Amino acid sequence: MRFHNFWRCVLFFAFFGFFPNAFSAPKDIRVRAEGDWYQGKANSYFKGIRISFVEQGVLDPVTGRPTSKNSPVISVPPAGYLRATKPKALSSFIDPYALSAMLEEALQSGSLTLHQSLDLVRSDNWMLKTMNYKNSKLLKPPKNYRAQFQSNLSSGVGTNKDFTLVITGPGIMDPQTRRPAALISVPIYDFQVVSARKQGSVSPYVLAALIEQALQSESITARQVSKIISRPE
Amino acid sequence: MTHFSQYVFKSPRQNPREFRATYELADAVTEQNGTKYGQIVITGPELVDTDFKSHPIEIPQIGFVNSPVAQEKTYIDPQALAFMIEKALRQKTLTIEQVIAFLSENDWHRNLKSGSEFYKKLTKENTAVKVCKGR
Repeated sequence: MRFHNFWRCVLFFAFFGFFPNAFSAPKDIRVRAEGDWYQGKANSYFKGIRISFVEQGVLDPVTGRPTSKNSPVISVPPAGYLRATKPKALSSFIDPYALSAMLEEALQSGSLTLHQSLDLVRSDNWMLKTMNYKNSKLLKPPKNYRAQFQSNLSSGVGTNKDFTLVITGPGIMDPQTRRPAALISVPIYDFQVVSARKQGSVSPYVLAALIEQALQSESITARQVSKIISRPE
Repeated sequence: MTHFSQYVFKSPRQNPREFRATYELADAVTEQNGTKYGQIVITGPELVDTDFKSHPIEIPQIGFVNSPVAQEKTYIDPQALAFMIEKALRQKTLTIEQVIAFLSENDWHRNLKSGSEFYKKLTKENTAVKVCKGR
Protein backbone atom coordinates (compact mmCIF):
# COMPACT_ATOMS: atom_id res chain seq x y z
CA MET A 1 0.00 0.00 0.00
CA ARG A 2 2.82 2.32 0.96
CA PHE A 3 4.52 1.44 -2.29
CA HIS A 4 1.41 2.58 -4.26
CA ASN A 5 1.24 5.87 -2.39
CA PHE A 6 4.90 6.45 -3.09
CA TRP A 7 4.40 6.02 -6.83
CA ARG A 8 1.31 8.21 -6.78
CA CYS A 9 3.40 10.98 -5.21
CA VAL A 10 6.15 10.49 -7.78
CA LEU A 11 3.67 10.67 -10.65
CA PHE A 12 1.93 13.73 -9.16
CA PHE A 13 5.13 15.73 -8.81
CA ALA A 14 6.48 14.55 -12.15
CA PHE A 15 3.28 15.66 -13.90
CA PHE A 16 3.05 19.08 -12.30
CA GLY A 17 6.81 19.54 -12.49
CA PHE A 18 6.85 19.04 -16.25
CA PHE A 19 3.45 20.61 -16.96
CA PRO A 20 2.99 23.44 -14.46
CA ASN A 21 0.17 24.96 -16.55
CA ALA A 22 -1.69 21.68 -16.98
CA PHE A 23 -4.63 22.65 -14.77
CA SER A 24 -4.32 26.42 -14.64
CA ALA A 25 -7.59 28.13 -15.45
CA PRO A 26 -7.71 29.63 -18.95
CA LYS A 27 -7.25 33.38 -18.86
CA ASP A 28 -10.13 35.43 -20.11
CA ILE A 29 -8.41 37.98 -22.23
CA ARG A 30 -9.14 39.73 -25.50
CA VAL A 31 -6.61 41.04 -28.00
CA ARG A 32 -7.72 43.10 -30.97
CA ALA A 33 -6.00 45.05 -33.71
CA GLU A 34 -7.68 48.07 -35.23
CA GLY A 35 -6.53 50.75 -37.59
CA ASP A 36 -6.85 52.69 -40.77
CA TRP A 37 -4.89 53.51 -43.91
CA TYR A 38 -3.05 56.78 -44.02
CA GLN A 39 -0.93 58.38 -46.66
CA GLY A 40 2.84 58.26 -46.27
CA LYS A 41 5.63 59.76 -48.35
CA ALA A 42 5.54 59.60 -52.16
CA ASN A 43 1.85 58.66 -52.22
CA SER A 44 2.48 55.39 -50.44
CA TYR A 45 -0.25 54.18 -48.12
CA PHE A 46 0.39 52.70 -44.72
CA LYS A 47 -1.85 51.29 -42.10
CA GLY A 48 -1.66 52.64 -38.57
CA ILE A 49 -2.64 49.77 -36.31
CA ARG A 50 -3.02 49.62 -32.57
CA ILE A 51 -3.18 46.34 -30.67
CA SER A 52 -5.28 46.45 -27.51
CA PHE A 53 -5.46 43.99 -24.61
CA VAL A 54 -8.34 43.64 -22.19
CA GLU A 55 -7.87 41.23 -19.30
CA GLN A 56 -10.73 40.36 -17.04
CA GLY A 57 -10.35 41.86 -13.59
CA VAL A 58 -7.64 44.37 -14.49
CA LEU A 59 -8.68 47.80 -13.29
CA ASP A 60 -7.42 51.28 -14.05
CA PRO A 61 -5.56 52.54 -10.95
CA VAL A 62 -7.00 56.05 -11.41
CA THR A 63 -10.65 55.35 -12.11
CA GLY A 64 -10.85 51.93 -10.44
CA ARG A 65 -12.71 50.69 -13.50
CA PRO A 66 -12.04 48.00 -16.10
CA THR A 67 -9.48 49.16 -18.61
CA SER A 68 -7.42 48.13 -21.64
CA LYS A 69 -3.71 48.19 -22.40
CA ASN A 70 -2.62 49.37 -25.82
CA SER A 71 0.38 49.20 -28.09
CA PRO A 72 1.48 52.42 -29.75
CA VAL A 73 0.13 52.90 -33.27
CA ILE A 74 2.18 50.52 -35.41
CA SER A 75 2.93 51.63 -38.92
CA VAL A 76 2.35 48.74 -41.27
CA PRO A 77 2.91 48.92 -45.01
CA PRO A 78 0.39 46.94 -47.05
CA ALA A 79 1.64 43.48 -47.96
CA GLY A 80 1.90 44.25 -51.67
CA TYR A 81 3.92 47.40 -51.04
CA LEU A 82 6.22 45.50 -48.73
CA ARG A 83 6.82 42.80 -51.30
CA ALA A 84 7.53 45.30 -54.05
CA THR A 85 9.94 47.54 -52.20
CA LYS A 86 11.45 45.84 -49.19
CA PRO A 87 12.23 42.22 -49.92
CA LYS A 88 14.69 42.02 -47.02
CA ALA A 89 11.96 42.89 -44.56
CA LEU A 90 9.78 40.04 -45.76
CA SER A 91 11.25 37.39 -43.53
CA SER A 92 10.65 39.40 -40.38
CA PHE A 93 7.14 40.62 -41.13
CA ILE A 94 4.20 39.33 -39.19
CA ASP A 95 0.81 40.70 -40.00
CA PRO A 96 -0.46 42.60 -36.92
CA TYR A 97 -3.96 41.10 -37.22
CA ALA A 98 -2.48 37.60 -37.19
CA LEU A 99 -0.15 38.66 -34.38
CA SER A 100 -3.09 39.84 -32.27
CA ALA A 101 -4.84 36.47 -32.77
CA MET A 102 -1.62 34.63 -31.86
CA LEU A 103 -1.11 36.77 -28.76
CA GLU A 104 -4.69 36.18 -27.63
CA GLU A 105 -4.36 32.41 -27.89
CA ALA A 106 -0.94 32.44 -26.16
CA LEU A 107 -2.32 34.59 -23.33
CA GLN A 108 -5.39 32.40 -22.91
CA SER A 109 -3.29 29.24 -22.75
CA GLY A 110 -0.97 30.85 -20.22
CA SER A 111 2.18 30.42 -22.32
CA LEU A 112 2.65 34.19 -22.43
CA THR A 113 2.00 36.86 -19.80
CA LEU A 114 0.37 40.21 -20.42
CA HIS A 115 3.63 41.88 -19.40
CA GLN A 116 5.59 39.90 -22.02
CA SER A 117 2.99 40.69 -24.69
CA LEU A 118 3.07 44.40 -23.95
CA ASP A 119 6.86 44.39 -23.98
CA LEU A 120 6.73 42.81 -27.41
CA VAL A 121 4.23 45.13 -29.08
CA ARG A 122 5.54 48.27 -27.44
CA SER A 123 9.10 47.75 -28.66
CA ASP A 124 10.22 49.60 -31.78
CA ASN A 125 11.51 46.43 -33.39
CA TRP A 126 8.45 44.28 -32.72
CA MET A 127 8.64 42.92 -36.25
CA LEU A 128 12.18 41.66 -35.62
CA LYS A 129 11.21 40.24 -32.25
CA THR A 130 8.62 38.02 -33.88
CA MET A 131 11.20 36.82 -36.40
CA ASN A 132 11.95 33.56 -34.66
CA TYR A 133 8.36 32.80 -33.75
CA LYS A 134 8.68 29.33 -35.28
CA ASN A 135 11.33 28.44 -32.72
CA SER A 136 9.46 30.13 -29.91
CA LYS A 137 7.43 28.16 -27.41
CA LEU A 138 5.34 31.25 -26.76
CA LEU A 139 3.81 32.23 -30.09
CA LYS A 140 2.00 29.74 -32.30
CA PRO A 141 -0.07 30.27 -35.45
CA PRO A 142 -3.75 30.86 -34.60
CA LYS A 143 -5.90 27.77 -34.05
CA ASN A 144 -9.26 29.53 -34.22
CA TYR A 145 -10.87 31.63 -36.92
CA ARG A 146 -11.73 35.27 -36.34
CA ALA A 147 -13.63 37.45 -38.80
CA GLN A 148 -14.41 41.09 -38.38
CA PHE A 149 -15.68 43.89 -40.59
CA GLN A 150 -14.10 47.21 -39.78
CA SER A 151 -15.30 50.58 -40.93
CA ASN A 152 -12.47 52.79 -42.13
CA LEU A 153 -11.98 55.90 -40.06
CA SER A 154 -11.77 58.30 -42.95
CA SER A 155 -15.28 57.36 -44.03
CA GLY A 156 -16.68 59.25 -41.04
CA VAL A 157 -19.46 58.69 -38.56
CA GLY A 158 -22.98 57.84 -39.57
CA THR A 159 -24.33 57.21 -43.02
CA ASN A 160 -21.90 56.07 -45.72
CA LYS A 161 -18.88 54.02 -44.75
CA ASP A 162 -16.08 51.98 -46.26
CA PHE A 163 -15.85 48.51 -44.79
CA THR A 164 -13.01 46.00 -44.82
CA LEU A 165 -13.28 42.37 -43.79
CA VAL A 166 -10.33 40.93 -41.85
CA ILE A 167 -10.04 37.17 -41.26
CA THR A 168 -7.34 35.28 -39.36
CA GLY A 169 -7.16 31.59 -38.61
CA PRO A 170 -5.33 28.30 -39.03
CA GLY A 171 -3.55 27.93 -42.34
CA ILE A 172 -4.03 31.55 -43.38
CA MET A 173 -0.48 32.40 -44.41
CA ASP A 174 1.29 34.98 -46.49
CA PRO A 175 2.42 33.07 -49.60
CA GLN A 176 5.64 35.10 -49.79
CA THR A 177 6.76 35.04 -46.16
CA ARG A 178 5.10 31.75 -45.16
CA ARG A 179 4.04 33.43 -41.96
CA PRO A 180 0.61 33.79 -40.37
CA ALA A 181 -1.32 36.54 -42.12
CA ALA A 182 -4.81 37.97 -42.45
CA LEU A 183 -7.20 37.69 -45.35
CA ILE A 184 -8.20 41.28 -46.01
CA SER A 185 -11.02 42.07 -48.39
CA VAL A 186 -11.14 44.70 -51.06
CA PRO A 187 -12.96 47.53 -49.25
CA ILE A 188 -16.67 47.92 -49.83
CA TYR A 189 -16.68 51.62 -50.62
CA ASP A 190 -19.39 54.02 -49.64
CA PHE A 191 -21.63 51.36 -48.15
CA GLN A 192 -24.80 52.80 -46.71
CA VAL A 193 -26.02 50.44 -44.04
CA VAL A 194 -29.57 51.81 -43.86
CA SER A 195 -30.28 51.83 -47.60
CA ALA A 196 -28.67 48.40 -47.90
CA ARG A 197 -31.15 47.09 -45.36
CA LYS A 198 -34.02 48.48 -47.40
CA GLN A 199 -32.70 46.49 -50.35
CA GLY A 200 -32.54 43.36 -48.23
CA SER A 201 -28.77 43.26 -47.72
CA VAL A 202 -27.37 42.09 -44.42
CA SER A 203 -25.30 44.25 -42.07
CA PRO A 204 -21.54 43.79 -42.66
CA TYR A 205 -21.03 43.22 -38.94
CA VAL A 206 -23.62 40.44 -38.93
CA LEU A 207 -22.04 38.99 -42.05
CA ALA A 208 -18.63 38.91 -40.34
CA ALA A 209 -20.12 37.05 -37.35
CA LEU A 210 -21.79 34.55 -39.71
CA ILE A 211 -18.59 34.04 -41.71
CA GLU A 212 -16.67 33.34 -38.50
CA GLN A 213 -19.38 30.87 -37.44
CA ALA A 214 -19.30 29.16 -40.86
CA LEU A 215 -15.47 28.91 -40.83
CA GLN A 216 -15.50 27.40 -37.36
CA SER A 217 -18.14 24.83 -38.30
CA GLU A 218 -16.24 24.13 -41.56
CA SER A 219 -19.24 24.81 -43.81
CA ILE A 220 -16.99 27.22 -45.75
CA THR A 221 -13.24 27.15 -46.23
CA ALA A 222 -10.79 30.04 -45.93
CA ARG A 223 -9.90 29.46 -49.59
CA GLN A 224 -13.54 29.98 -50.64
CA VAL A 225 -13.75 33.15 -48.55
CA SER A 226 -10.47 34.37 -50.02
CA LYS A 227 -11.75 33.94 -53.60
CA ILE A 228 -14.93 35.85 -52.84
CA ILE A 229 -13.48 38.77 -50.91
CA SER A 230 -10.75 39.45 -53.47
CA ARG A 231 -13.43 40.59 -55.93
CA PRO A 232 -14.35 44.28 -55.82
CA GLU A 233 -18.11 43.62 -55.98
CA MET B 1 -22.20 39.74 -50.56
CA THR B 2 -24.55 37.46 -52.45
CA HIS B 3 -21.65 35.06 -53.11
CA PHE B 4 -21.60 34.17 -49.45
CA SER B 5 -25.22 33.15 -49.34
CA GLN B 6 -24.73 29.55 -50.48
CA TYR B 7 -22.11 28.93 -47.77
CA VAL B 8 -22.85 31.25 -44.92
CA PHE B 9 -26.60 31.65 -44.66
CA LYS B 10 -28.83 28.78 -43.67
CA SER B 11 -31.76 31.13 -44.25
CA PRO B 12 -31.93 34.73 -45.49
CA ARG B 13 -32.89 35.99 -42.05
CA GLN B 14 -30.30 34.07 -40.11
CA ASN B 15 -28.76 35.63 -37.03
CA PRO B 16 -25.43 34.70 -35.46
CA ARG B 17 -25.78 32.13 -32.68
CA GLU B 18 -23.65 33.98 -30.11
CA PHE B 19 -23.39 37.58 -29.05
CA ARG B 20 -20.33 39.55 -30.09
CA ALA B 21 -19.54 43.05 -28.93
CA THR B 22 -16.60 44.92 -30.41
CA TYR B 23 -15.40 48.48 -30.23
CA GLU B 24 -13.98 50.40 -33.14
CA LEU B 25 -13.04 54.00 -33.66
CA ALA B 26 -15.48 55.58 -36.05
CA ASP B 27 -13.90 58.97 -36.62
CA ALA B 28 -10.27 59.94 -37.12
CA VAL B 29 -10.96 63.46 -35.90
CA THR B 30 -10.30 64.21 -32.26
CA GLU B 31 -12.13 67.26 -31.05
CA GLN B 32 -10.52 69.98 -28.94
CA ASN B 33 -12.00 68.68 -25.69
CA GLY B 34 -10.46 65.27 -26.31
CA THR B 35 -13.64 63.60 -27.49
CA LYS B 36 -13.20 60.69 -29.86
CA TYR B 37 -16.08 58.95 -31.49
CA GLY B 38 -16.27 55.23 -31.70
CA GLN B 39 -18.91 52.60 -31.71
CA ILE B 40 -19.68 49.44 -29.87
CA VAL B 41 -21.09 47.03 -32.38
CA ILE B 42 -23.20 44.19 -31.02
CA THR B 43 -24.40 41.28 -33.10
CA GLY B 44 -26.17 38.16 -31.95
CA PRO B 45 -29.31 36.05 -31.82
CA GLU B 46 -32.72 37.70 -32.08
CA LEU B 47 -31.29 41.11 -32.91
CA VAL B 48 -33.68 42.26 -35.58
CA ASP B 49 -34.40 45.59 -37.20
CA THR B 50 -38.10 46.33 -36.72
CA ASP B 51 -38.06 49.17 -39.29
CA PHE B 52 -36.95 46.90 -42.12
CA LYS B 53 -38.77 43.76 -41.05
CA SER B 54 -36.56 41.25 -39.32
CA HIS B 55 -33.14 42.02 -40.72
CA PRO B 56 -30.29 41.06 -38.43
CA ILE B 57 -28.94 44.29 -37.04
CA GLU B 58 -26.03 45.81 -35.20
CA ILE B 59 -26.33 48.36 -32.42
CA PRO B 60 -25.60 51.91 -33.57
CA GLN B 61 -22.70 54.18 -32.75
CA ILE B 62 -21.92 55.67 -29.39
CA GLY B 63 -19.72 58.64 -28.59
CA PHE B 64 -16.80 58.14 -26.25
CA VAL B 65 -14.78 60.59 -24.25
CA ASN B 66 -11.02 60.14 -24.06
CA SER B 67 -8.44 61.75 -21.82
CA PRO B 68 -8.18 64.14 -20.01
CA VAL B 69 -11.79 63.46 -19.04
CA ALA B 70 -10.72 59.81 -18.88
CA GLN B 71 -9.38 60.51 -15.41
CA GLU B 72 -12.93 60.99 -14.20
CA LYS B 73 -14.35 58.24 -12.08
CA THR B 74 -17.24 57.84 -14.51
CA TYR B 75 -15.03 56.97 -17.48
CA ILE B 76 -14.91 53.42 -18.68
CA ASP B 77 -12.55 52.18 -21.33
CA PRO B 78 -14.57 51.34 -24.46
CA GLN B 79 -12.52 48.24 -25.32
CA ALA B 80 -13.07 46.91 -21.81
CA LEU B 81 -16.75 47.85 -21.95
CA ALA B 82 -17.27 45.93 -25.20
CA PHE B 83 -15.64 42.84 -23.68
CA MET B 84 -17.79 43.10 -20.54
CA ILE B 85 -20.99 43.57 -22.54
CA GLU B 86 -20.20 40.50 -24.64
CA LYS B 87 -19.56 38.40 -21.54
CA ALA B 88 -22.68 39.67 -19.76
CA LEU B 89 -24.84 38.89 -22.80
CA ARG B 90 -23.37 35.42 -23.27
CA GLN B 91 -23.72 34.60 -19.57
CA LYS B 92 -27.22 36.13 -19.53
CA THR B 93 -26.52 38.43 -16.60
CA LEU B 94 -27.84 41.24 -18.82
CA THR B 95 -30.40 41.14 -21.60
CA ILE B 96 -29.89 42.84 -24.93
CA GLU B 97 -32.87 45.09 -24.11
CA GLN B 98 -31.11 46.30 -20.95
CA VAL B 99 -27.89 46.97 -22.87
CA ILE B 100 -29.67 48.86 -25.66
CA ALA B 101 -31.73 50.88 -23.19
CA PHE B 102 -28.64 51.89 -21.26
CA LEU B 103 -26.41 52.74 -24.22
CA SER B 104 -29.22 54.72 -25.85
CA GLU B 105 -29.22 57.26 -23.01
CA ASN B 106 -27.52 60.59 -23.53
CA ASP B 107 -24.39 60.90 -21.40
CA TRP B 108 -24.62 57.20 -20.64
CA HIS B 109 -20.98 57.02 -19.61
CA ARG B 110 -21.64 59.57 -16.88
CA ASN B 111 -24.61 57.52 -15.73
CA LEU B 112 -22.49 54.39 -15.35
CA LYS B 113 -22.42 54.75 -11.57
CA SER B 114 -20.52 52.12 -9.62
CA GLY B 115 -23.51 51.43 -7.40
CA SER B 116 -26.03 51.08 -10.23
CA GLU B 117 -27.72 47.78 -10.93
CA PHE B 118 -26.49 47.84 -14.54
CA TYR B 119 -22.86 48.33 -13.51
CA LYS B 120 -23.08 45.56 -10.91
CA LYS B 121 -24.42 43.14 -13.51
CA LEU B 122 -21.89 44.29 -16.06
CA THR B 123 -18.99 43.72 -13.70
CA LYS B 124 -20.33 40.58 -12.07
CA GLU B 125 -17.48 38.55 -13.52
CA ASN B 126 -14.94 41.31 -12.94
CA THR B 127 -14.87 41.16 -9.17
CA ALA B 128 -11.38 39.69 -8.89
CA VAL B 129 -9.67 43.04 -8.38
CA LYS B 130 -6.16 43.13 -9.74
CA VAL B 131 -5.02 46.71 -10.08
CA CYS B 132 -2.50 47.08 -12.89
CA LYS B 133 0.70 49.02 -12.37
CA GLY B 134 1.06 52.18 -14.40
CA ARG B 135 -0.98 52.94 -17.50
